[in-house]
Amino acid sequence: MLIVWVLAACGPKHVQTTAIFSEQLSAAALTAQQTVTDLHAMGGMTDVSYQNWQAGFLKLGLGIKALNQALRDSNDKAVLEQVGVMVTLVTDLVNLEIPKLKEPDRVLVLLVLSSVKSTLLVISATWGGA
Amino acid sequence: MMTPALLAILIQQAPTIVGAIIALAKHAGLNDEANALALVLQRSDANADQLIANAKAALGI
Repeated sequence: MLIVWVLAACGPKHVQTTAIFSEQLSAAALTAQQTVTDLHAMGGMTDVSYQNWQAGFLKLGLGIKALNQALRDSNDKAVLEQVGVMVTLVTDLVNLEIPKLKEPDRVLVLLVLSSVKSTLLVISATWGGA
Repeated sequence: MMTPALLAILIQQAPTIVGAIIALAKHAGLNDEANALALVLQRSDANADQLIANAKAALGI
């Protein structure tokens, strides 16, 4: 019984912390998406770049949902895999699309994306993957 | 008798068996913990759904 209570105290908190970061991640991604949408509306990027960004956000949204399912399933391997996929996705977007932006748009998008990426890295570290 | 080493191993392994822990926590009456977790994940899912819907609209799919 003692074991049950010790784990009940540790386990759910661990997952709950990650779940809170997942909520923060999804909110940061929405902010980044809105920023890109605004920049496109103001003529700050080409239609092709805009579509690349949106395709990235689509994959990010699916990744967040997969992460949450992994948390529900207590599948720690899947949690780390999903975070890894999303880190790669964001890194690729930064490398491919950021250089196409002009200042100060470039700094703005980098800022909102850094929030997404840092949250991903915190989740990875929280889960023991860093 | 539980030794510190055994306790450390159990804590280290906690994430892999957390589903069972949540079930046990519910069984032990810790419903608030399990319910709070479900609510937080629901909010994250709702944001992700919005992200996906926005992207699909932008891409015309």
